Amino acid sequence: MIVLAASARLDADDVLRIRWAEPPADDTTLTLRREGTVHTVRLDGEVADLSQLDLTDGTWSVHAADAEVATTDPGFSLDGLVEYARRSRTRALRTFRDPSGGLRVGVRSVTPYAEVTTVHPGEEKLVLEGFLAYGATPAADRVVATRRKTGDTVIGEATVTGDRWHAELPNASFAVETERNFWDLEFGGLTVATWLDDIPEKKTKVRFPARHVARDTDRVRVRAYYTDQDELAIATTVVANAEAS
Amino acid sequence: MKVSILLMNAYGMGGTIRATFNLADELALRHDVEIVSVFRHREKPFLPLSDRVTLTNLIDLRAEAKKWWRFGFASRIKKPSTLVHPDERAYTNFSAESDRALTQYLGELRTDVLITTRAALNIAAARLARDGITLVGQEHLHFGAHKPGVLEEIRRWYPKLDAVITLTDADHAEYSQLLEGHPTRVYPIGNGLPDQPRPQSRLDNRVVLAAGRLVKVKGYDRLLDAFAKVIEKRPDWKLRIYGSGTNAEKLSKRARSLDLHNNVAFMGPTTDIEGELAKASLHVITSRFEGFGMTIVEAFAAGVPVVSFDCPQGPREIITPGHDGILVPDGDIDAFADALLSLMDDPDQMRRLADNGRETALRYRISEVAARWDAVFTDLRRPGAR
Repeated sequence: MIVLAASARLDADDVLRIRWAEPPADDTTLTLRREGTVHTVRLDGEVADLSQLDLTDGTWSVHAADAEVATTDPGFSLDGLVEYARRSRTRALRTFRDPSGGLRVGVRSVTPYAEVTTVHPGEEKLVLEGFLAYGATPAADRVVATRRKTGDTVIGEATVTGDRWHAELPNASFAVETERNFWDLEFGGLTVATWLDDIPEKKTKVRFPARHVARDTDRVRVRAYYTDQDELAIATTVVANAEAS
Repeated sequence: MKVSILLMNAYGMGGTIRATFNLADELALRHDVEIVSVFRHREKPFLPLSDRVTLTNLIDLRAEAKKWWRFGFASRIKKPSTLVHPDERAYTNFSAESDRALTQYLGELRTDVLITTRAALNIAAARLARDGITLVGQEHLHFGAHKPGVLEEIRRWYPKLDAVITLTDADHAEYSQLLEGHPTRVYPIGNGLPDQPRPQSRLDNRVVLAAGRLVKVKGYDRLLDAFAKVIEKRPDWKLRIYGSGTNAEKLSKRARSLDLHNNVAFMGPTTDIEGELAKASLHVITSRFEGFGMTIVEAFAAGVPVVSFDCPQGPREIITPGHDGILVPDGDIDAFADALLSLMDDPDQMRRLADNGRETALRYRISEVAARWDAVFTDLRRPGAR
């Protein structure tokens, strides 16, 4: 028997709303399954409240009347992800369609952090913009870049307006290098990352232009990049003047 | 009936492979169907293949297959092919080893129908296949895309095929003219989509999607130029380009120099293009030529309007301008950007195009496409057909 959802979305209260294309024989309960663990939740026709379920991190399949629920809804809304992250929370749920067509609920433990939405590598300074996710509150209005090898820091100004933030780091401050190095970013104690989309491993997918800080005999190339965890960081490299293009 | 389908590489990605897998799966409901890949470079095919269809290969390029390599393999694989014309677009893939393997395979093949899927393989089948096999050459490239040397070989060898299947009516006309006076028949049959529930876009993400190998013919340089104009007015829109290829670094650099880094992501290859299309609101084709345009039909089926350059040949035969998509004069970057902006500013029009596109996609159901293939087989195999 086919149980097919034409629409399956979670709202900010973790209430799953389903519009059926092929409804289940029994539309009074849903079960969520993952690695042998089963949670049952009341289904009120097309609405199931998942907020009280003790779901562990990972991907859960959804079943109704003993059939796996398939969906034609990709379950993906960029604006929806942002809206969802505007609330303070420690657990984030997402619905999505598995490539095989099955409805899935993804569960992740989350901590407040600073989401980056735009990166502007200017000639003089690197400008970052974003918003505060999951109720994040920066401990200080400054963004700090910490050099991995030595612990040296570069400090930039930051401002917060509502839940939006804006930060600027002067390129010239990174011209202390004698070799290639990496700088990790934090904003008032918060991780700085881009996680509110469906693009993991951004390192190879999204690349930012480099800027150069001239010195007497060489230049330092400053480039923002995503780490393997999709956190934003800065790479600096010393290049001879002849190569600095 | 046994149907053998010869692909250059069934383990890669792209419209030809996806379309061939769809067709093979549907034909396997009634026939014994095998896909033979000339080359294999990975354990499993990148795209999912139904277990109704058998898959074998002639040349296994994987490191772990080294122990099975025949005597002389290592030197033959480096020597250029003499069977395939150097004007073949994928010439560098072929070698003296593929010449040997193809010659042996075609000379020993026991099957009822052999479908070959690109000019080099169509020509090889015409030259080398055993008598008694119904030879069907399929053309995934449009006629005008063949270089002179290949065209000359097509003229010489295609008359030995029983049939040529084109993806478009325009190519049907070209090949009919070329084969006039010969017994070879020419049929136009487009690619098909499996009949199954498909993910549907809600048109709620400001995402434009392009998909295909990152090579010159796909025209992503033109797409980036057009998108740079789009984000001057609509910086809230994102472009996702799916695929990999030799131009990846060049395109990434171009995107950076156009200040597109906040708006463009090079997503790499995907096995679920229909799922990704359903997350987008617009699908774009900026190819310099496009034999068919499988993703156009897939986008229609996902309820995503298509904006395409009016390149030869596929897009203009699938898209009805203003009804289910927009055709822009080939190469007109400003007009392409304007077409995208006009839809971004008119969600009602976008929704109308999407609804009509869903209707258009029904014409490409694989059950109907496979039925046309079956009619061709019947036509060709009745006594005295040739």
